[in-house]
Amino acid sequence: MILGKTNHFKVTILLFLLVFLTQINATTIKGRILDSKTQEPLTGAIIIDKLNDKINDEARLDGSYFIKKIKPGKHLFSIQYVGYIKQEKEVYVSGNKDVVLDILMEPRKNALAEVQIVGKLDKESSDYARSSEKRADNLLNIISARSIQLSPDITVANVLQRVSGVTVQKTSNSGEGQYAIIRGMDKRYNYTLINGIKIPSPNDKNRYVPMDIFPAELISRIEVIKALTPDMEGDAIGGVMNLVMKDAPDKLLISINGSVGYNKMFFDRPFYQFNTSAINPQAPSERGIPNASPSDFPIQDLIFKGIKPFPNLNGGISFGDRFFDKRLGFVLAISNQNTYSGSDAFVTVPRAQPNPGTLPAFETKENRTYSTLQNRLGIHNKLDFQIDRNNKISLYNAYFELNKYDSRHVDQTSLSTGVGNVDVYDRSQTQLEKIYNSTLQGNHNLTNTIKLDWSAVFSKAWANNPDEAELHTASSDFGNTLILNGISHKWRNNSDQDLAAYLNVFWNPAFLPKNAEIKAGGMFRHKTRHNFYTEYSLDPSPNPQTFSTIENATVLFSGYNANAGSPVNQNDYDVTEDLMAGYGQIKFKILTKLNVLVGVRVEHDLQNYTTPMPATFPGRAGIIPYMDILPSLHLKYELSENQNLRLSYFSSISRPGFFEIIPYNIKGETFDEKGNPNLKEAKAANVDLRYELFPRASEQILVGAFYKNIVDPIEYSLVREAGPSALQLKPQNFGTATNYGVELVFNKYFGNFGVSANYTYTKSSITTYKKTYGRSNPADPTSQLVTDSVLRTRPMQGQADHIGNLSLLYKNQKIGLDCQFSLVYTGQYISQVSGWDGLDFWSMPNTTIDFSFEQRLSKKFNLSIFGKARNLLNSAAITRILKPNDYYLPSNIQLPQQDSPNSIVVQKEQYGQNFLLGFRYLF
Amino acid sequence: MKTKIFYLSALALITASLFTSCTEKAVISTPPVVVGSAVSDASPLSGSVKGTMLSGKTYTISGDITVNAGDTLLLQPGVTVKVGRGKTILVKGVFISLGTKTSPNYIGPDKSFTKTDAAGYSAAADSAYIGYWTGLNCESTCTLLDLKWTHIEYTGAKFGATFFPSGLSAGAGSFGIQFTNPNGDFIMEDSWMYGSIDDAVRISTGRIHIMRNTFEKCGATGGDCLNAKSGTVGDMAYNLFVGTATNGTKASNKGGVGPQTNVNMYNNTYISGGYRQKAPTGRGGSINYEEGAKGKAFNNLMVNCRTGVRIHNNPAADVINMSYGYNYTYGDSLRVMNNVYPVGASLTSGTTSVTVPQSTDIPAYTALLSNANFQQTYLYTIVGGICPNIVGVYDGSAYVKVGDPKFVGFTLPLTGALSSISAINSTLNFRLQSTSPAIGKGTADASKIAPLNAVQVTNKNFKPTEVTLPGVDMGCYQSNGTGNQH
Repeated sequence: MILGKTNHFKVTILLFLLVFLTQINATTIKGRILDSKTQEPLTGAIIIDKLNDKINDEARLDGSYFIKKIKPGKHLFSIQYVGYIKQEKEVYVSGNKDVVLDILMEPRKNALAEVQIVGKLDKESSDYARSSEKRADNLLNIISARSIQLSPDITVANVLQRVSGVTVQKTSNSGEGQYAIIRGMDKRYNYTLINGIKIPSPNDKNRYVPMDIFPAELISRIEVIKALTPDMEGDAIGGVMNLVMKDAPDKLLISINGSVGYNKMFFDRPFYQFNTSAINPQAPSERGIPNASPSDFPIQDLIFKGIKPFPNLNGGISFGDRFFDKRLGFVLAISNQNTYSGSDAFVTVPRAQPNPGTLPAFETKENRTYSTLQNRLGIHNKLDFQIDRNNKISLYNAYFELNKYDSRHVDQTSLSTGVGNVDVYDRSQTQLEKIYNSTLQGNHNLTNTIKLDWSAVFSKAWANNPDEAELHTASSDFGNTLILNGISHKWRNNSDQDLAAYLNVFWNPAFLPKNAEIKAGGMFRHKTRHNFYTEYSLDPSPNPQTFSTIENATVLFSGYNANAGSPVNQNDYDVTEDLMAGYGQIKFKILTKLNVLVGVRVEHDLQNYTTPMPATFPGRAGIIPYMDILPSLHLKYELSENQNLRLSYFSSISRPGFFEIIPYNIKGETFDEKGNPNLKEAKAANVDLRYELFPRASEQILVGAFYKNIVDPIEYSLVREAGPSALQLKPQNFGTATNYGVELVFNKYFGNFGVSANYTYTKSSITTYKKTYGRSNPADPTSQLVTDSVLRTRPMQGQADHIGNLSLLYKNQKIGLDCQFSLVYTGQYISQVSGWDGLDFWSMPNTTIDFSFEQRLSKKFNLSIFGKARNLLNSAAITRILKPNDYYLPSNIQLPQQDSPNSIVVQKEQYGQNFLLGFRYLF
Repeated sequence: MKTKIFYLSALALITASLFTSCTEKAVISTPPVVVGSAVSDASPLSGSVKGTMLSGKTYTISGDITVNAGDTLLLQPGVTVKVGRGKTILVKGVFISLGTKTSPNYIGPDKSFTKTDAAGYSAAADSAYIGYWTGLNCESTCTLLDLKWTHIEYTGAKFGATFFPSGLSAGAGSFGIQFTNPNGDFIMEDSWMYGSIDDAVRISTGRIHIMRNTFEKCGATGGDCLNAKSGTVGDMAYNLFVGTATNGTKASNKGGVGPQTNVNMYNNTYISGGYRQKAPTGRGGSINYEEGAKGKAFNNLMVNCRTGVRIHNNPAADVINMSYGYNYTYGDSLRVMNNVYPVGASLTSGTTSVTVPQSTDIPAYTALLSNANFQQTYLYTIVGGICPNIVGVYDGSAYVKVGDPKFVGFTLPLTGALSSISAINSTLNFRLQSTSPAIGKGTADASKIAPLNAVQVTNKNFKPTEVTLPGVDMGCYQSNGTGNQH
């Protein structure tokens, strides 16, 4: 069941050989199958020789077909494509002469027009994706379901990295993509939609949604919208990710797929597992035990066993059909993925205060070993009902669940005080995340000129981290004898619930040109958010205590009230948010080729937070309103049938995270951390220019440029508050940031081969205060050592200068083979902003290569085999401080993993290669 | 008691070597100091408290109390403050305790504990480490904390569920005293601290005058007696430290607040420090300078401490701007005498230092004075902000049990574990006999060591009663009767 890397390559080479052999031939009939009007190639159209009544070929990506070794004489070809009128062609083939025959197909226009269930266009195809991009009023990039299916990716987060201008932040424990950075704008500047409806986040502090919770196979297409129109919520500066879920099909469709896989890492080392059944879902204080005792905390979740994990298992089933004259559509799809992943990481932890001269200083070096079991479940269901030709109603339900069971082992060696001291941390963490969305939607044609749609939404996100347990042991003699340092248990959970209503009215009044449309509408959303946090610390008893095993360790609560956990803390908070928005926009065409969309949106937001802090705590509760007026203008000039020139302007905002506005005051690891109730929303003016060329369907060349001016961007920076007090790390509005760049997208097909590439150059800059530490007069070594601040300009966090994607596709419809080779390049970017001048953490340029294939096994049974190989290079994710590396000098204290005198390696992570092989069956 | 024994012995041994003339001070009565109105002792206190606690009265703190910004709480001589289990005194304004030698003040538990100060008593069972209340917590708005002749005992409780200083959370551990205002003054004179969980005194930042105090059993499984962070400027002198978990006095410039940490540590006595570190973190056992701190350390007396003066290499103290010498070490074990200048990681101690052996130290490690690897030029080499050349292993065996400083009531060599001494029980007295080899060997040369005299309090009732100048007798007790008065 387990395929090694080499086996994979053998299979691939074999398949390629097969392909080349079959293409050697003498007499052929060839040509292209195209739409008669648009000349778009009809990939997948079949051509059948009536004489032997079997499919001889299917149109390739560029519409071409190819029938070889054809017998001389008369042939009757039947050409068929879904949604098009079947054609028959009589062809006479003589001797060795090749025949060229292009076939133009007529769409079946009137076939189902009566009930308006058009849907005949395959909305999951790449063709549809390209034509949607072309037709759209605003700037967007689309990835189709078919592309996703063929791609090496199994989660939406990983699919997103294939989109131009998108980089994906990976989790450190598994290397899986999690959050998307769009055009260099950090995750906070983007939002996520499901079927156009904004969803809440299971994140305990922020608004952004982890994109690894969504299994890719439930998605019909992913749209990355980079320019907002007035009918969209305005709080995105980078962009919007819209996940369009699969619709009900036109006829009975059942598909099943299953696959097994393995991460190569676990051939080399064990997977460390803990007993998840021992986890208590509730903290003692939640279970009505105000004063806990050590026996209330099981030790099973601190016993780690090294195992060879089971293979990764992925499976999906989908069922869809139409009933009652195709008026009622139904689709239900379930996807489940069970994945064992891990990471081996080297990390150095910088000291709170650098060495004089603001030189990097390190507290510890650590080797971290992560083992993560992820179980991802997605269920989605849609019912749509065509009441009559003017009224349609649909109900959409989606449920996503991502359960992560993560064990982490850290060997930490002191690099400063106490050389030879080793601290060992063993942590078990259970992260249960859920998102549920239910949307009832109606579409109504009120008159010939007025349409409206409405949505009523219930949506909720949960995150639950029950009993995050950590065992801390230490040694002062290089690990020879271990003593018990303590055990901690944390419970965290949070929920975020939305009740929302949307209304949009479309009006095509007679006094306006035919294609013109006035659209107006509004929305209201009531959000309630709750966070719970508690922490228990158990100390050794007797203390000190030599550590042998967790079973032999004896602990107790020391100190007054320690057994109560932390009933009052600032991580416990409640937020309600009421967002009201209204907009109006008009779309029209002038000068025959210029499409104009202009409008304005108004958003009023009211946030209300409460904490359980005592009344004496300043800012215990607060009410914060935001009011924004967001105009936008989108121009599209049709240079020709297949060329557009677009220019758009839109203004948008990004509101502070829920936790950031709470005036928390926490002693952080390096600095005191403080919330900021005075935080304003960041406001951006965005300009986009794009040239688009669509040579054929599925092919495109896009060249674009963007410029963003962001007023009051939110960044974390050190401040010294008025009056005497310590340095504090605080989210703040920082002047004005700019961000501009260039995007190139290129898709082209040559027969069975395709190339898809994109490249984005981004340059952003933000100016903030950075601290310096050194002599007040650098020339005088006896002068005071002082902490000062300087203004420094840097790129925004997460913005890579160069991002590139390259995919090479091979698609042979005839033998039913699809292959894809994908490369993602991400340039260097700041992964962690330091409060100190010049000590930012930079993530180094990284290239990942993935490969995937799908081979049809049986035409009759619609069965195919597919494989995905991810992270083939297993390239290390390296993070550096870009300062001369004194730790590389033989004369200095040495850090491991160093390779350069010019920069310091502070983190190095490896995730291992992933292989997956499976079957897909379509009824 | 001890004091009487000393005076008797001092009278019996009239020494001609006393150059300082001992003139008797005239004592003229002054009216009791009062601020605001009197605090009522009729019922237990909680909430905000200000005004004057009157001589002879006993006050009970039953709930957490706050001295608000702008308010002052003043304790007249002879006040007893009994603090309830886990309760906090939060000082946002000014806190002044004016005990006297004859009428000291007491701030501690509202119940009594049996002190278990016999040598070698199990630390795990010792009531000193119970952490009964959370101590004096001064916020950054506190402009003056002034403690004279005041006992502070049994601190270190974890903060309660609903009341804790800024930046901390419920359940966080406490220090005995915390001071956090770089523009504020912290005066601590002739006072006593007994028992704490972590640091007895944490000066996050501030101007300090800490003289002639006695610290016993501070830190349960780690923690210093006096731990100064960035922005701390002032003197730590004539203090007696017995059985500290880690250091007696420590200075670091960590934190980025206020001016550079600059602390002069002179004429302190350190007995059996550094033995209660849960995981010996490589920290010291007596004097410690690290992470950009500077200052001067002279005339100190260290007996059986885990390490001697530790000038840390990484994060490095501001080595080129500090000086030290005339320090006296006595050790009953090779381990101690091999760490007079704390050695590197090749030994299991894991301590690293760049302390340069001084010819004025007692004993003078003559072999090291001429060794190139123990010279300032070698040890103070800075690469990337770190001093990579650390003190290497040397042999101190010739000095083990050599140079008994001859205490009045402490027989050396010690029988039993060096860590067994952690408090001054009835038999111990760390004053020097007249025949002590530590007498007269220090320096009073103001060009070498002088007080920084940093506090800026001018009110005659509140300012330091005496800035005791460096004395030639090593340690905190001077044979002329000055220095530590306990």
